[in-house]
Amino acid sequence: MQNLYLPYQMRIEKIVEESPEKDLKTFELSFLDSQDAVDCKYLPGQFAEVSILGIGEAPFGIASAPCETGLVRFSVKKAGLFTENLHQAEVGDIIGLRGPLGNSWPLEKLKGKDIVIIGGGFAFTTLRSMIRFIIEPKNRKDFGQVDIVYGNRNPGQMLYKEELEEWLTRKDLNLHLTIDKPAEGWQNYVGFVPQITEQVIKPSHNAVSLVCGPPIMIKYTLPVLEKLGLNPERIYTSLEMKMKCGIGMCGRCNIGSKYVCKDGPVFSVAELEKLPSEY
Amino acid sequence: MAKYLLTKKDLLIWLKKLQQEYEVLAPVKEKKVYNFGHWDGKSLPDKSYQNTLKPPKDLFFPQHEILLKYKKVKGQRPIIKAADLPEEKRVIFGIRPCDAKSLSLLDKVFLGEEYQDPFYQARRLNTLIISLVCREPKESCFCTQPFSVEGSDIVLFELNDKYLVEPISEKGKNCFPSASYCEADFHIIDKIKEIKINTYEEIASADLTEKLDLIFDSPIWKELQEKCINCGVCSFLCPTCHCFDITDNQQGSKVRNWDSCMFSGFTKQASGHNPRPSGTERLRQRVMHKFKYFPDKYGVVACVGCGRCVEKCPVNLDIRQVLLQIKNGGEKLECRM
Repeated sequence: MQNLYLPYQMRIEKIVEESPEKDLKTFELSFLDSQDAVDCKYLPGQFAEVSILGIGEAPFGIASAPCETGLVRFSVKKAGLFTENLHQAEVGDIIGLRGPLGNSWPLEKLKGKDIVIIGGGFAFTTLRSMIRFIIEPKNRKDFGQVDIVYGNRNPGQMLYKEELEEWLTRKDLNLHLTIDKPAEGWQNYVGFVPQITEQVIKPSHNAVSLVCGPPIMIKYTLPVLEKLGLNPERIYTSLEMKMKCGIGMCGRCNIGSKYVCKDGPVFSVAELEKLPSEY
Repeated sequence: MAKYLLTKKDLLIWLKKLQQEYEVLAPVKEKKVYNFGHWDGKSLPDKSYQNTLKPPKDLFFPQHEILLKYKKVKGQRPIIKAADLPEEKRVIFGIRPCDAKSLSLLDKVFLGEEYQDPFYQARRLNTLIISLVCREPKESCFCTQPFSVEGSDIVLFELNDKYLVEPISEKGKNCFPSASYCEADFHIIDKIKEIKINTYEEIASADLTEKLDLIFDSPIWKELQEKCINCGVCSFLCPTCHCFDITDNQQGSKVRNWDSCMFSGFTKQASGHNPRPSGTERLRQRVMHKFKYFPDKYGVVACVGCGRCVEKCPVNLDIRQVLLQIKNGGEKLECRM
């Protein structure tokens, strides 16, 4: 058995500067050892610990989808010591990956259902993984209608701009992009995510919703979804916490008796309602 | 289970024999306190030994431990290796039943169904636990099962000048040459009951867990924490506290160090957000983790009643009083000791 703390070695293949503020980058990584690519099987919604030798390790949601074989993608906002260092990395640098960790979006419960995806800001990563998973030809028949609302403060902050352009033209999903305030040349919606959600989403009786974004967006979006007829059992979100081990041992990422790293990061709103609001 | 009667001399001979194969650790007096150290091969703990200052957890989960070693080579892929697993075969002799039980609680964390910590696992597999039942409790003790065999491979009872030995686990049975000794008769086994052990009313009972469910938002936590200085000594001396940090050092190692939920940095995120921003939330976390979250997860409270936190708290914040106060619905009650 491989030691739990030993990371896969990854080469940075591509770095995409995602926002004009230059505080958001997407890193595309490949496995140095081909066997690792086979062993590292993940599902949309899972996360991994990314490491830089001599600096440390931090958890990030996996933004790529399992069908994109051989590569793993993360989008990282510059915020603290580790992310500052990661942002200085260059193509060709070798970093570590430990994972996949945590549960995933509830794939079994999503099968055969209409999917409502609500995302905001740079928390769109694992939602992007889920969407990419759904539209993979061999998976698409497993899901019903797919409606997406993705909002940002301004157009420049949209993650994965090229891909979003392509998704806007697709017939097998309905993508609604929105920004907070009008901007020159912006052809899509203007308004906050909860507002646009209320306007464009008409969930069917069997719809399930996946929500990920800044806390303020989540706070105002959940009542909208409930008003639209989605009960807390049918709304899922993904949480973030400071983590170290990622495997339920180091003791810091708990909310009540649940560890976000091992029991989460994905929880239904019904599950969260039973936990103390300490997150 | 069968029990065997050994004289002090028999016991010494048996331990000496074990010492040929194992590193035998026993309570060793350093100045005024006992801690586990290399057994001198001749002395046995006397009446002054009540318990070790430090719990035995560091023998399995050291305060500082190297997990990985790495070497960066310019222009090449780095070399990363897991630290070697500990191989030393050890006997821990004279551990108290409460501390032996704490190991079975740590097992739940480090040897889970899904993930097993390889370093902890290797040490647990290589170590034989011979516990020694207390003759009498310390003032700060509040264990409820002084004869608990949980976590022990072999249990010893001190009877005046003799020792009653009870092998518990398979590992224990294999290491004890039972054929060489007489099985103890009922008359002698009855004598165990004469050991002066006062057990205390179960402080951490099921109704406490239920109560904790209801008081997450109670003002009691703020009141309790006014005394607490968040020094973390309770968690470092607790045999079941297992929280840790992982960092890279500048000498090419990824290391694990004990950490504590009492510290503000424990949950502080890079954005500056902290889900447990003040002492109130941190004290609540520690109590809740032991008496609510751990039982929810593993079906047992994460406290063995060893009393170290009671004894060493610099502001005399007594966990027994905290629990009684919670149990009695917030009224401040004097502890019954």
